[in-house]
Amino acid sequence: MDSMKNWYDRWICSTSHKDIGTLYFVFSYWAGLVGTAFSSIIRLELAVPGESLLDGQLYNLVVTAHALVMIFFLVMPMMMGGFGNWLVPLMLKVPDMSFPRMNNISFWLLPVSILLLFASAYVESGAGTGWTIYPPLSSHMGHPGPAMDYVILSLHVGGLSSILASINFFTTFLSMRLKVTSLYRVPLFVWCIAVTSFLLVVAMPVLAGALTMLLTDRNFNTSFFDPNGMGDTILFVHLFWFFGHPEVYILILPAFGMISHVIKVGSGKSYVFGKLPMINAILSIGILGFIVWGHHMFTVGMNVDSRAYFSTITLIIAIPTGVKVFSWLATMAGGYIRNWPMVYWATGFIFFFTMGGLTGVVLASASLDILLHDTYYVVAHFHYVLSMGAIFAMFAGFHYWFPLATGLGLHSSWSKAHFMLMFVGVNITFFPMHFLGLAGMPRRINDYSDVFHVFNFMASWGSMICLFAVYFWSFLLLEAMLSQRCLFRACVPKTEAEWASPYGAFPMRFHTWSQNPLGFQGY
Amino acid sequence: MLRGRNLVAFSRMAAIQQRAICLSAATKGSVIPADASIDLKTYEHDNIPQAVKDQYYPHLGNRDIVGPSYGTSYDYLDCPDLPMPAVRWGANTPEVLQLREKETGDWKNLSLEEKKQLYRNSYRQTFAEIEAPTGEWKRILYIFCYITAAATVYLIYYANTVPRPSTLNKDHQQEMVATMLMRNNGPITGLASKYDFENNQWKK
Repeated sequence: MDSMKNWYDRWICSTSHKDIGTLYFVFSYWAGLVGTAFSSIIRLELAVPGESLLDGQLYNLVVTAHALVMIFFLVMPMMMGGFGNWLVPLMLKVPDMSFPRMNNISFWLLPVSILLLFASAYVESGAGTGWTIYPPLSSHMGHPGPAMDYVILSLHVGGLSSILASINFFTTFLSMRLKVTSLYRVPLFVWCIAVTSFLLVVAMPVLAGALTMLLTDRNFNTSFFDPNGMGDTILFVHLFWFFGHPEVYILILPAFGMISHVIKVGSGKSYVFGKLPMINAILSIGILGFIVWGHHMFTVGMNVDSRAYFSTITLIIAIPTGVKVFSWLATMAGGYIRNWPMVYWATGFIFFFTMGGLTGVVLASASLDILLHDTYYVVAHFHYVLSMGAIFAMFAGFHYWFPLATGLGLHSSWSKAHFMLMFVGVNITFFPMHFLGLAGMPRRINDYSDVFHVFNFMASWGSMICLFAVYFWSFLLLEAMLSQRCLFRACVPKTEAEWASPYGAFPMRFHTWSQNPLGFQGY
Repeated sequence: MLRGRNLVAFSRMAAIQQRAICLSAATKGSVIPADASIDLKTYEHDNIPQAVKDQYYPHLGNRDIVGPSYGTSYDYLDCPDLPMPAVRWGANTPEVLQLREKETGDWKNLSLEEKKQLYRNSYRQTFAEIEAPTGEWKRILYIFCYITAAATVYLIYYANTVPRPSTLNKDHQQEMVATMLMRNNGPITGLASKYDFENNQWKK
């Protein structure tokens, strides 16, 4: 701290995992507000039939931006960068990450990436391709202007940030452990971060390759995805979803880790039920996630045997997920369930993530997916597992670890009211979408037949409740800072390594551990 | 406005002060200073490391450490699944110490009031009080209703201000149906097949 005499040294040139984690939190919270604004604009447009706010291209642009911002600038930074950076060194009892300076640049690449994404909206007509950016719509034929190139560059920079952060986490997990910290003793959240890092390191370069091929197709006269030049449009679909499916596990695995911790402490237990099966389930999900990508492409004209294979393997991946869900339930069984907001969020996660998984099982069937592909049934499915999976888990983790990081407590009753608002809001928003999808309403359309009006209005109503809930959440954060309800004791068992403050007070000091503990794994 | 490093320092100071306030006895009666000639070791838990005593007794004052800690610090906590807090709730006043001396004898000699006094000195709440309903649900419900109403009003206002397509108009829909019947759309299984043209009414 003595060397940091000004804010530039502390916040721009940071090498502290805590400060970098805080930067990630602030950035991803702001990005979440932006993504929420985009979702509100979409739902306002769809509240009544007809074009009310946006024309077709602008609507597509907002839909694309909503997905990219939520995935790449809210969920991934907050989970990996925010929670991961704060908690992994604390849980492993090490002073910092393996590569502190690379940690810093991993964060600072993100504002560059998001600026490029926003810049794409201001050039030509923007990029209205959907987050899957399939050619030919994303190639020079569909989007001839530079907007698509800005998006490609934005994803490249964001991907680089993720890859560097993942290298850091994986190295820290493997080499910066105490000798007594065997792999079995590593906390479940750290296991989830490690497997997520592995997925990122393997999958992100595939996206980078696909993006580079798209860039050269657009600007350097190649024809990777152009049938006129002996290319194949479906090649991009394969490359994208080979990245895209591990990507969705990247979004959810850290959530699994956080929920394991929250459920354990919220139930008054010292251990999660079946830690070894949980670790094996995490590893299985990580590995199987690489071989199921075809279930996003059942309608491209694949061979029936290929469709049968992808259906089967997608159903198989539900097994380790089921192991985890039942282990969480078994952890809660027989425990004294605390009346804390984080427990509300975690319980909501378990129930609604399971519901989203059930609709995923429906979509895993290739026959049914032929009818439901690119309908609102798919939108309902992934919003159940993301809006009610990843987001609920982030709120649970935030409620649990906010006092650790700040030494302050959120208002308990108001936090429960916020949970009720989000709970009701997201369900009113996304449950009717199942019926819309089954009735045949396609995705990514800014106007629809009158017959879909009622459920769309309901979904927009739920979205407005969620929007006001987000305003309320911002108020809760501000109120916590202003009220200064200081944490003086942590009601968590001694098994929780991250809460073992050597100074007995919160928030954690700048340096928790001034040096590596004796018995350092790597030496 | 506090910011940055000052905010952290302030929070830590406030936390330590609040901790001292919360740990101090909320009891009536005199409080014996820490250096009084009372043998605390008689009433505290065995095998407490000296380092722990040195760290915590200056904050606890005249309160005994009576058990192992649940978390990382020796504090009092009311929790049904943690019935034995590490620290006694009340301070060791002369009245309480007399009762505690009497407690070492036959409990039949203790009156009900004395037993209650001993309990309240060791614990802040009974299990019934810990698990008693707080009425918190009312606060949660009114905030939920208030904000949901605000969102609903906003959406209804928005839906009434944007132009709606004519196809949602009942008159327009009836005209469309009449036009489709005039064109005989769906004469076998569709719309026209459900209309009785001779009697000019829908088939029953």
